[in-house]
Amino acid sequence: MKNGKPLVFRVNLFKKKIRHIFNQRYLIQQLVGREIKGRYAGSAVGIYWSVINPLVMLAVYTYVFSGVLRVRLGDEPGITNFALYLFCGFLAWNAFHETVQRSTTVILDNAPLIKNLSFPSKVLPVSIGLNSIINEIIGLCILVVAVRVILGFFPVYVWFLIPLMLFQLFLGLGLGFIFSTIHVFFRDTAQFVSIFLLIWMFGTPLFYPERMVPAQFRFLVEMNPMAYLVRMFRAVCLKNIFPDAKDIIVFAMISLFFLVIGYLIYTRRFYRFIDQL
Amino acid sequence: MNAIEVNHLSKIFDIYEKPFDRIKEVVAFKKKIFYQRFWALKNISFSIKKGTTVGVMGQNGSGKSTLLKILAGLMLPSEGEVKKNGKTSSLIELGMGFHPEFSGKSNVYLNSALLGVSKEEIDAKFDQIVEFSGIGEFIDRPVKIYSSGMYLRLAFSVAISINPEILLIDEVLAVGDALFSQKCIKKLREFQDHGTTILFVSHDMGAIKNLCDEAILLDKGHLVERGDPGDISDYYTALIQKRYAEETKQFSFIQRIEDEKKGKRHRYGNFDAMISEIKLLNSSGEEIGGVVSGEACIIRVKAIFFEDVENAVVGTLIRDRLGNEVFGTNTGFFHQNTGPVTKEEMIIVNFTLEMNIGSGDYSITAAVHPDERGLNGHFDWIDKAISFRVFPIEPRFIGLSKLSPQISIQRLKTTDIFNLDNPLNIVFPNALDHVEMNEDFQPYLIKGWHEPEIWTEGSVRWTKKEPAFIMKISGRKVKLDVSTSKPDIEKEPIVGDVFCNGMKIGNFILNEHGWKQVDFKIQEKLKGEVARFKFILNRTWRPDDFFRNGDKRELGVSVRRIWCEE
Repeated sequence: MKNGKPLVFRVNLFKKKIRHIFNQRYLIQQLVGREIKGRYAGSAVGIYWSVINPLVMLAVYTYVFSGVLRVRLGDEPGITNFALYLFCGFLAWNAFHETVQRSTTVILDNAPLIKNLSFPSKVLPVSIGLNSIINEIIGLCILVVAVRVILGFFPVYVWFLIPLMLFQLFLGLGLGFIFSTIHVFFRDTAQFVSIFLLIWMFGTPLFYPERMVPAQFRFLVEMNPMAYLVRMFRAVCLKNIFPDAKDIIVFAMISLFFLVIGYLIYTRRFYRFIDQL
Repeated sequence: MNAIEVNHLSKIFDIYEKPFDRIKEVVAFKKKIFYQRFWALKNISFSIKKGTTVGVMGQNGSGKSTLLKILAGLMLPSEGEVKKNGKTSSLIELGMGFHPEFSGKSNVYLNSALLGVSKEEIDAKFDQIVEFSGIGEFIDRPVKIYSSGMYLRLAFSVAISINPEILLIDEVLAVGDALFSQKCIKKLREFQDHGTTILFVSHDMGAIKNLCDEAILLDKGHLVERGDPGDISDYYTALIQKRYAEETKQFSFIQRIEDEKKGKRHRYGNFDAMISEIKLLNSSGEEIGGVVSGEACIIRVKAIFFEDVENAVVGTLIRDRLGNEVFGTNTGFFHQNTGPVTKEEMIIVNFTLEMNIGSGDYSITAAVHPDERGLNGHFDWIDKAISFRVFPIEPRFIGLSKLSPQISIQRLKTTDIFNLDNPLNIVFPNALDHVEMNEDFQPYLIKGWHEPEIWTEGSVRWTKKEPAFIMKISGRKVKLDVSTSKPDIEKEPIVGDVFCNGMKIGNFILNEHGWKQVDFKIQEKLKGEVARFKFILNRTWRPDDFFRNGDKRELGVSVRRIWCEE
């Protein structure tokens, strides 16, 4: 891994590596299956929990925010129903949160596996990310039905959320790669990541609309890729409009950037950290 | 061609005492070192020819596992390089990635995926894996209910199912029961026959001697010796002795002796006393290089003393070509302790024995110790001091020991013996006085039957050329319904001779289509006994030859039912 290779070569090399991950799809499929089946193994209701959970969340939000607190943030489209507003935002955030949080520890959790089998360990974060995306899609289906029932329209651009989720996966994976690498060397990283994600969550306009953020803190929202994602989710699901082109481009660029950086850090440090496991 | 080439390989681990040291180091920008260097491997070079099996020996912490992990590509070497030619598979830790809640089957698929096997390959090999593991129907139950042996057996079967060109094994042969160990050894031999290169880490000197063509000895990260597995085992033993002596604050030396005739050997001990002569003599005292199996001979060991010692025991050990111990004894076992020996004294011990061992090449190892078990180290131990050959004797025998058997053989006609304990009664206690052709009677149709078929008349089975079955006799007649659908039966009739317990009781001829009932008389005295029946048909036929229907089974006659009558 010497520096100084031409950029084109680097890009090609990177493409090759992405293809390498793609070639591991059978392994990834097995690992995602293990992840999903493993979580509900031995439980009576089994896989249906992943449907019950978001349903209950939506019911609780509706009861608390529309029934008890009667939160009203305004009359413009998208935020008239605060429960749906919250649910839509958290759909995107939770999947991202889970990917980053669990990727951070996945390498260390699977240390015996990595130490004793020569298999491409980078598929571990990928399987975790895919698993969260599956849950996100289940939640999205529930949201679409709820929007149809409560707001009375069908969000026609909902298909566009699938490519968005892919970039959301890239962002989560990129950060996951970085944190998991650091976590191998500094075991305090997981704790740090929890707090970091908590701050990030409150910094993202999930509970409040963007326009309520004071002007002097606006830059925090502008710098926050998750704010872009949440904005696009709400545009598609609650306002029934196609997301802003600027939002799409900025979010995609930031996601790709983190994926590349994370991947490079991970692969270059891989053999260093295997000695530390 | 070399399958594995290792050049100047070193592996360094940096050990930090506290996690915080690592942060301090980052902050200090490597101006100060906060870690300790540990050389797990230091400047190791060797190459392994394709198709050979090489054992790696060494004490705990000698770097064996690190070497294997680097070869498996799990770690990068700190210095030097490793070259491999061929698909590599490693059995380093078993059952990695098994999920306790999942069934054995899911885990086979999951584990294989981790080993880099594609779905198609696993589908093709799945039955083979289950059969090799001997797990049986448990394969569909979650692995958390498996016994630890079953768990490891399944894991081992998955790992071994891939056909690698280079196989790296770390101490995993000790898995499961004796039957499974044998299967493993057999599987390894198969790999060897297919030209797989195997690198095999083990503490089990027996396994190394028996399986490996060569061995490598590692000590504290250095490659100390490479050679014949037997020699390396001896050296390994010597190293352990030396380490032991160091721990108990004694002195011990290891000396390598090499001469053209006998090759490399080892001699170790504290050399307070030394063996000056070892000889194999015949009963008249002449030196010999070979004996006939069972011949009396003498092993003579002379030892001279340089120090005053409290006690001395002289021992000798005969080993076979592979280095397996055949027989060992010493003066201590015979309570012939010398008591104190003074310096400049010499002891001569004659072991007179009959060489009751099998033909082949053997070596004699001799030693002088302070006590009979060698617990306090050795004065002098010489591996393979001399070698000799044992020549075969008539009558020949197989194996290492000559146990001088006496043999007598009697022959009788089974029909002449009365009150014979009929073994069939014990083996088939539940045999019925009729045989149906459905699955329930499978255990009694002992050979020469095809799978049952459902015809309009019920279950029917086709026989092969010599079908046999077990039935309890409850009457004086045995009846059966037979038929055949061979088209040219009129031209070429099928004739079947029927036997009961090996005696012919009659025959039947089939020369037309349709069911035919035939019966045979049975001896009165067999009533109540379980008996073995057999047909021998004069010919079989293949449906495909007549109907071109792809049915290539060798068929004889079809049977519907067999039963007894008064």
